[in-house]
Amino acid sequence: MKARTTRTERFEDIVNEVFEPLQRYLHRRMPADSVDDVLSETLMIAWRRLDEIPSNASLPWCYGVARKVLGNHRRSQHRRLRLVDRLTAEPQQFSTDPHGGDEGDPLLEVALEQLNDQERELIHLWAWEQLEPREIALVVESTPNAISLRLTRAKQKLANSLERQNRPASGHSPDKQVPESSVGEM
Amino acid sequence: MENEDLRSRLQKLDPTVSGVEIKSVDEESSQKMLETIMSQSAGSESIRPAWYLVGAAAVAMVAFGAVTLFGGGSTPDVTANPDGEAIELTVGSEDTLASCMALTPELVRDVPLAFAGTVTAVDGDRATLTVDEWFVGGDAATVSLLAPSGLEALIGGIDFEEGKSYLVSAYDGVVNYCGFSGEETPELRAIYDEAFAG
Repeated sequence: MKARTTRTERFEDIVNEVFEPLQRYLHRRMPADSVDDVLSETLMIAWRRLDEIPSNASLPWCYGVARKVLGNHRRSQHRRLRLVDRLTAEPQQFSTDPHGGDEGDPLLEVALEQLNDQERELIHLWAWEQLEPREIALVVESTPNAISLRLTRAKQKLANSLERQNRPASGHSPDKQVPESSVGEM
Repeated sequence: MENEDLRSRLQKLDPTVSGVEIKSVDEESSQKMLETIMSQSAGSESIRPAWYLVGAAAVAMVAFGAVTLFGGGSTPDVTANPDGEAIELTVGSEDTLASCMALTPELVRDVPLAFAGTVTAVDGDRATLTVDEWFVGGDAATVSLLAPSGLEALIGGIDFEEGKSYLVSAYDGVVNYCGFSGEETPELRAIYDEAFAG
């Protein structure tokens, strides 16, 4: 019984640490109405695989699980919509950006659009979750060195894109620039 | 641009800065979620449950009979033909009911395919089940589950062991995991029985 208590206590400690950050992670990447489902599935996996969670990196480990569960969820949504499309013969769009339309930083948004999905994910984990390369490596199952390199490249790509946009051609407004017209150099 | 300048600028695009509802762990709904999670595994003292979530996609083939799935998107066209062609189901990563929380008879009742079966062979990436009982969706005698990434893969599937009985459901051609399908336990059996009673 003591082992069970210890196990429960450890899980509760981890939950206290990750509960709110995980919600923010999910809210940044999916519609709010599905956050609870993915959160609970993530914590369920954490509970079942408690002994695999590194003691000094619970949060990145949980981000890694949430990332996979979120991927499953997105694929499921696509499947559902494909089915609906077949049944209704009316094409529908699935938005992967639950927060589209927010006011922000148009130049930076354009620059982000020019990154590929993997680069954008690294940038978001670095900026929004404020993770170090070794922690990001745990989330995306890579090595710290590889992440460090890819992150540096992605940041440079962003910086280059911003610089290009800050040098508008005459009569051309940078914030009206269409992403497809310029591709990252690196 | 300096690293911190870039990070600071990116943080202003963070969707959560404009105000989303973040629940505290102390809230009643949060506590209820956690109680449900911990109670679902309360019966097992083992570090790794008999079946666990795995993430790799797997493919299930229903052999020795055909099952027509998902006719028109609601109830299935439940037909079986011993001479018919085998169909393929996906297991794991694309589970349309991927949620571990709300396992209820009402949800299970809506699946178009469900059966109870016993694993008769596990060979590499393939597990073969003899169907003991079809609840809905077909009457094939045997179901063969093929996991290209291996049955011992990570998050999203089920660990099949020879001689053990399992309850398996599928939706939209996808075997459901994370509570909906798994080794037969009195709890899971009760939910299936209630779901398909009458």
